[in-house]
Amino acid sequence: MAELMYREALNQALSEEMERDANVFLIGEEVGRYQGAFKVSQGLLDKFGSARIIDAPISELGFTGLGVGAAMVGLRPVVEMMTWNFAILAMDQIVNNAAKLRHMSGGQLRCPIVFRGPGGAGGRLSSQHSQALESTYAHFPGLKVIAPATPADAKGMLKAAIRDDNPVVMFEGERLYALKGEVPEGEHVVPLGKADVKREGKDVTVITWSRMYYFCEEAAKQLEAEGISVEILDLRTLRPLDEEAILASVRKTNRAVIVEEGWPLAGVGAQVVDIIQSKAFDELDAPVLRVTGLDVNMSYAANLENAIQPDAPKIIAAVKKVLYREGA
Amino acid sequence: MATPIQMPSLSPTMKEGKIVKWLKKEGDKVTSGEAIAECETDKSNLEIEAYDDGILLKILVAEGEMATVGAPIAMLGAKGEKAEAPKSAAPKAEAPKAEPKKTEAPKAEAAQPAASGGGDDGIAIAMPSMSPTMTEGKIVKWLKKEGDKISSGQAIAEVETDKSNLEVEAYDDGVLARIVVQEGQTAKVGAPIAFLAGKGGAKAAPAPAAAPAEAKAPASKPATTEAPKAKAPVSTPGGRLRASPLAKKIAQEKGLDLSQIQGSGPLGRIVKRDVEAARSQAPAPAEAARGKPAAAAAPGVRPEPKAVPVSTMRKVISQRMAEVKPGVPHFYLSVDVEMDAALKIREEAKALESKVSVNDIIVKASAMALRRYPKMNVALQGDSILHFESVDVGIAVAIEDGLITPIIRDADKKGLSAISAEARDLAERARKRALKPAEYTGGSLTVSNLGMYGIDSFIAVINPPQAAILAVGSVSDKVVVRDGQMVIRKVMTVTLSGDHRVIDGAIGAEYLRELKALLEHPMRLLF
Repeated sequence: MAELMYREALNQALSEEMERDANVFLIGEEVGRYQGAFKVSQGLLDKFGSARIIDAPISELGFTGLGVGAAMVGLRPVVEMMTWNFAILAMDQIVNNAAKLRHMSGGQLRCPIVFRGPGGAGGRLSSQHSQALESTYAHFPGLKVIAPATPADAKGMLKAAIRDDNPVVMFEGERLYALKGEVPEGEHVVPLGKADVKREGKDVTVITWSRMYYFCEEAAKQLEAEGISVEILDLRTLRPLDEEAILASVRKTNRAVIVEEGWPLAGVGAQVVDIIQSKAFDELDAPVLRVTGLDVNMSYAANLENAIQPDAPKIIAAVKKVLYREGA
Repeated sequence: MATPIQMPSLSPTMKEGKIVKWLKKEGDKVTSGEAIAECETDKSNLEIEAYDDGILLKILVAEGEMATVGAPIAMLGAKGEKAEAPKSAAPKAEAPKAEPKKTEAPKAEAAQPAASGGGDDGIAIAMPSMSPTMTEGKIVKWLKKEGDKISSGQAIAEVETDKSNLEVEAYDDGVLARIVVQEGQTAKVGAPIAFLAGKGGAKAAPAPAAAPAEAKAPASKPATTEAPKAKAPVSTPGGRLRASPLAKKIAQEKGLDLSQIQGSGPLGRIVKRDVEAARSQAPAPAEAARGKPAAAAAPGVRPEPKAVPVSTMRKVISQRMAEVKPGVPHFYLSVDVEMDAALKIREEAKALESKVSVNDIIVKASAMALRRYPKMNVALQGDSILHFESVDVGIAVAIEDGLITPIIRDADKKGLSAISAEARDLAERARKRALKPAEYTGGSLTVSNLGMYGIDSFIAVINPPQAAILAVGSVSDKVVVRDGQMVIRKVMTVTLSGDHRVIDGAIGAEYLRELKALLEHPMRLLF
């Protein structure tokens, strides 16, 4: 199996899907000539031409609307956001049109479109460029929201998203693009809505997604040395949530910690807590804890930026707390 | 909501810690991971860290004071929030003051929400410690009801301790505003059992967070009929039992009584591991042993064992025996005693219409032997050996689901009829659980007699803090050799278990020789 960077895996998915289906096209700022702000679309302009790799002006609302319109008439657009922070400008098209077209048309229209781009803290880009906005989009019925952590999942889930007849919002960790991992070649499609147990454990379930998964792994390794066995459940899809996988893991370990890069209030993690408490209350041996980004705007200073985000020590502390081991 | 910061366990052996210095003051902002106080443990001085962010609303344990592990030492909450001290266990691990009436005072105060001392929330009446080993007590009966006027010194409730039933007295005047531990429920020593509204008609406290555990076990029914849904022992209107949902579920499935389980989670929350530990130590069903042989079960269906909750007394016995057997190095000495002459005394007493049992004679003899061998009349206490000036002998009395050893004081100086009368009275009251603490504490030696059950000889476990126990077997006809001839004698085997830390084998042997001589020649009891 080839070892690819996260961005190369996405590139491969785009390339393969565009080869497979002539209705697929990519639109966004600097996706063509510049080869992508994060080099996800490298080489695609040469391969597919400017009719399918379309450089858009700085006009998020405009080119997103163009994509939605194209999807309505049978194409399968992939709309790249330079970052999800900029997509706030295009929210009307995403949540008012794409998400609701099928409903508003009484089922006559479909909207097979993928909105994708980097999210989360970027590394000293301050508050306007460092937001993990998954929960915002996960709030709306009509959208599917995905956030893969590994290059393999990135490829497989983008392929599934492009083939999906519903609008899919895809968060790519901005700091994951250069991360390498084994990626299956060719037809590798990861179904949407399925979480993945990335690490088996028996004492506590840590539920996470995207970049936070790596902090969880680091924490799990350290905790293992202390005799604590951590199970890591990577949600991968945030809407719809894989309730079955969440409940199965919590029923196994009886304790859960949810790790989320975004803010605590109304976060996806809060929804996960609700699922656990309402459907596995009798299986719990401790309250479910959440580790989230701090409830503040992201700082520019590197030390503060790190302090605001979840990390392995914070996860370890939370795990020990749900195991009643704090102070031990 | 304000949450308590608890005294953490900072070492494997730490049971309590002293606050050396508060690094934050009331009103200060505290962030998770920040050191808030310096604490002296049994090993060293360490810093206590906050596990949450918030404002340090109230310091509950002052500098220089002790707190047991798990007890709240401060309250953390949002700015401007009213700090309400948890009404769980008394946070302070202070030694009770000498004056008995005062002992409850600090606990009551600690259990109060505010520092105002009898402010708006009423005065907590805490479960008192009524015996040296008492950790919790069961309310057998409330002698007062809510709304009743109470004056200081008045008995307000009857409590079953690990040893006996005693009355709880009020230490203040007022009105019994709220009963929080109902009849049949247990409460830890120091936990509030009721609230007294002050003279000024102050309001009673809201339902406290203390953990008066439920007493009744929803004994699981055998699986012969349709499984009726046993109610989980959760909360009652008056009290709250902290247990995780999972622990409750397992307890319900296994028919375990959560109120009998010690929780190891925060604020004593019972969690899965506690229930599992309790399951593994579940007592053998008491009634299964006797009675009819089990009815033939359907093939392939094995009847579920019935879990009977451990009584308070049994719990203490099990704890103490588990401590003393590996903890106190025992040695054992056995001797056969010819009891023909001693039995004759009993016959003679009968003729005088005086009831004297074999055991009474043994108690008298063992006391006189102790007087003559003062090296046996000792007990180890810390780094000192206590040499008792009086001879007080305990008699082991088996009562329902337990055992207690009331003491016959100055047994060496008392006549047989006095010992007999006293022993009968003590045994009777022990069975009714009506002994006072002074009647079963102290003494240096216990006589444990299983002769009436036909036991020839046995080895008894020392009853701490005593240093010896005498295990007495039955008197039976045995062939002994006298001057080369076989003769039949009434023989009894006595086994002494000694605490080898304070008594040596030779001393024990001398003592037994004296005891044997006294019993075989009871005339010597007169000298």
